[in-house]
Amino acid sequence: MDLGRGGRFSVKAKAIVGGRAEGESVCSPQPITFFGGVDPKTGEVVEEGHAIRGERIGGKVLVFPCGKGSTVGSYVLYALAKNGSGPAAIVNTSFDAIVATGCVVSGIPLLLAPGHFLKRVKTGDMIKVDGERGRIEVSRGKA
Amino acid sequence: MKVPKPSYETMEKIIEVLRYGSGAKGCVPIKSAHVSGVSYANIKEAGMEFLEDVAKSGVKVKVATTTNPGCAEIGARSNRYGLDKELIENQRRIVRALEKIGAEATLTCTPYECRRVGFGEHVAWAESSAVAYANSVLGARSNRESGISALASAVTGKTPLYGMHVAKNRVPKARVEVEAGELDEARMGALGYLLGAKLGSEVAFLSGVGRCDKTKIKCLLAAASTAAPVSLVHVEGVTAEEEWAGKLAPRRAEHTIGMEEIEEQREKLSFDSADPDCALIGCPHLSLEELARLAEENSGRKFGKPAFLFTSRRVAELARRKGYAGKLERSGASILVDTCVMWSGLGRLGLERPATNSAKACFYLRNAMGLKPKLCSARDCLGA
Repeated sequence: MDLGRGGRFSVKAKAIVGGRAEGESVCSPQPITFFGGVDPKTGEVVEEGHAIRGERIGGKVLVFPCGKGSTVGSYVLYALAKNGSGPAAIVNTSFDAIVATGCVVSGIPLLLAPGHFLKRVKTGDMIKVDGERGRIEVSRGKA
Repeated sequence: MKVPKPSYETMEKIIEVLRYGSGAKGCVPIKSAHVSGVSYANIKEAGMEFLEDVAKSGVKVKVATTTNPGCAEIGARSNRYGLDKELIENQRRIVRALEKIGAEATLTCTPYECRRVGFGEHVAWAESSAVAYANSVLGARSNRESGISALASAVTGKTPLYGMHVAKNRVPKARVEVEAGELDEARMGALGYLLGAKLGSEVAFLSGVGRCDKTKIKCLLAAASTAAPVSLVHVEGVTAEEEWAGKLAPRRAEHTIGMEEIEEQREKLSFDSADPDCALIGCPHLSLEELARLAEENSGRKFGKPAFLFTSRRVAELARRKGYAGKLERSGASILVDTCVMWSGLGRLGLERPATNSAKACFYLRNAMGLKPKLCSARDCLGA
């Protein structure tokens, strides 16, 4: 969806882990494997052939369908948060136990958005998540 | 952003989030928990500190809790292969933290060899091969937990009631017919891998496997749960609920698997180097009966290359008392405890071409450790 300059929209979302956060988005159309797929020190996506390989997720609102791979991934999210390279918030479109567990222990807000949300956002959009009210606001074109 | 210190509330929140996410209406009390994510090589600094913080918070397990293997031996003989001292110390710190929480340092992927598990019991186990074994062979009920969710269940004494905990989800969705005659354990593993690759997480009813000892069923289930999130396979004439499952399984076989396909899968998993430089047996960990059989079969022989046999401290101790361990060591084998085939010693010793009878081990040795494993029966691995 083309929002045009300064365009904005918001969606209702299920809050899995509460909290409020705001940041630039990094969006992946593909699931993310944290264990082996993301460098726990730098927050860089390193999985060979991944759609967002090379992106750094530190301080960003990370949008992707769900997690995959080893359950040690929860600890990678925890390591990222401890190293200051963790995402400010995560938006998924389906529930995944690895990501959810990682977010609980790391204190990262996690929201579940409807499936179409992935098609409406793109990397670089500003996203505000409100895990208390269950709302995600997206704006494109920075002031 | 400040990372919160884990506490009992964190553990409760994990269970609540998983209940909500799974759509379960409530939770069920559990009889035991099995915690994975023990190896320092996997969870590193952050995981170690997390477990130490959990221990410091004073939370204790409410049910019998066992633990998965680490990346190194941590007992009195821990430095016999010259492993990095810091690595061993970090592995010890993890185990000490888990013990402080009340978990038992079984350090094995076969917790069912340490504690009897009853039919129909609800448990919260991590370690995919143990989950598949508990559900299939023992008729217990467990979802595939992660290290952290199993710990949260251990501490709170409960798990969300969904998935494998609910009888209707244990009904086979597909029937798979095997037409291959008798298979050795390496080929049973290849068959298990095929099963996972074909069916994903679907519960299957497998017929035509025939006689199947513990080694074979362990290798089959471990490989199936490596290829896909498999929690339960009903095997005709072998597993706990097979009679019930056989009646409810679809009549028509969705897949028929023959020897050619199994052999092809074995070759795909195996690097098939002509000249393995060591043998790795015990993925999943060897039981006392398996050690007895290996001792018997190789009595008086000398192995031509290093042979590493992996088991738990408890089983190793029993094997020592029975004389099996001594016999195997006289043949040149090393019995390793507290760790598994993903052992940090392999790199230290410069071994690159292990022979193993485990399809699961083959997959990880190749993909996670970059080695060139060969998949063949224990007999072939040990060069009989």
